Amino acid sequence: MITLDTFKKEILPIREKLFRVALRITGNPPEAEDVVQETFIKVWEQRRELQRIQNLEAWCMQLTKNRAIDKRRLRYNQSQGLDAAYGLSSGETTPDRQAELTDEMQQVRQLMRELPEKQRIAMQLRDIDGLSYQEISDMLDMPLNQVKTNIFRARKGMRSKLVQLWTIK
Amino acid sequence: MDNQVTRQLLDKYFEGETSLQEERQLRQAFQQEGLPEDLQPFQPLFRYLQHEQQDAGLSEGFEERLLQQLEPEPPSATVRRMQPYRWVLRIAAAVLLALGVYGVCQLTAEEKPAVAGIDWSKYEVQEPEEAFRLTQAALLKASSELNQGTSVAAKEFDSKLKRVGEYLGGK
Repeated sequence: MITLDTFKKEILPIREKLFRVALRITGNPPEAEDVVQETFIKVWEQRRELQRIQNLEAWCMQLTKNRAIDKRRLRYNQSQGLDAAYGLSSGETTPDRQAELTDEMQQVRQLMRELPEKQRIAMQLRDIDGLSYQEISDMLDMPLNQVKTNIFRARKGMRSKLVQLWTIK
Repeated sequence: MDNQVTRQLLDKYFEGETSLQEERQLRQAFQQEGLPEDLQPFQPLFRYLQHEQQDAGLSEGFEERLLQQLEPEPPSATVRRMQPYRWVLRIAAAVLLALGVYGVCQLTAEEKPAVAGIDWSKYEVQEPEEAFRLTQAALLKASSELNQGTSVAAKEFDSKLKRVGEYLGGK
């Protein structure tokens, strides 16, 4: 059985990793935090059976992914824009320029959402969270070459969409 | 960063060949204003990535809030945990009791000789005259007992003989 002390030393330190994956799946920081919290509570509730689990981190990661996917499915309306959590600092820009930047980012965010899920998550873990290919492979339980392929395709897809968007402007 | 270098890095990036360090440089390069027209379509992407990076993280106090929810042990869990050990406690109690009884018996047995012990040296005769007198008295007592025993046996024999005589006479 896992004690509170073991829980603090061995399980709690992976919270940021779990949060990143949850955030990339849900696309919403408060929701991702809820997912991580629920995952940890579930782990604690099942602490008597944890000795049978060989790779605790991988198991936690799988729980997080499943919960995050469930949350996202529940939230039908994903039309929230770059609201308070994604707002821009207005320190050095005029209100017009700020509105323009916010609009640009909202468009990019929308383009990212349109990518196939695996491609989008792999690209975000690399380009936003700054993880190595190996770390992404471990985190997503995906072969290394597939990680690279997904990231390559995601970037390629974004490039063509951005060029298309720029041409329309 | 020089725009030419940015272009080269951008090509590498879209080919999936950049390192994490080069990707950081690229994000920084696209934060500046006044980029050449061929680079401008990609500026929103790198601004978005840079901005998202700043936001990614659990909120302050997450750990404390979580631990508050974990600390209380469910009462049923405590009861369940005690169940398998109850029989062990029973056996331990029985063994302790047996050991206690055995210990008390041992102590009592060891103490007995000390309580019943008699210092015979106090009754030992020291003077030869006294020893002679005691021995003589003991022998006289034995002799009188022996004589008494002989006369009893003779009487018994006489009575038996008499009865035999009566029996034979009757015949």
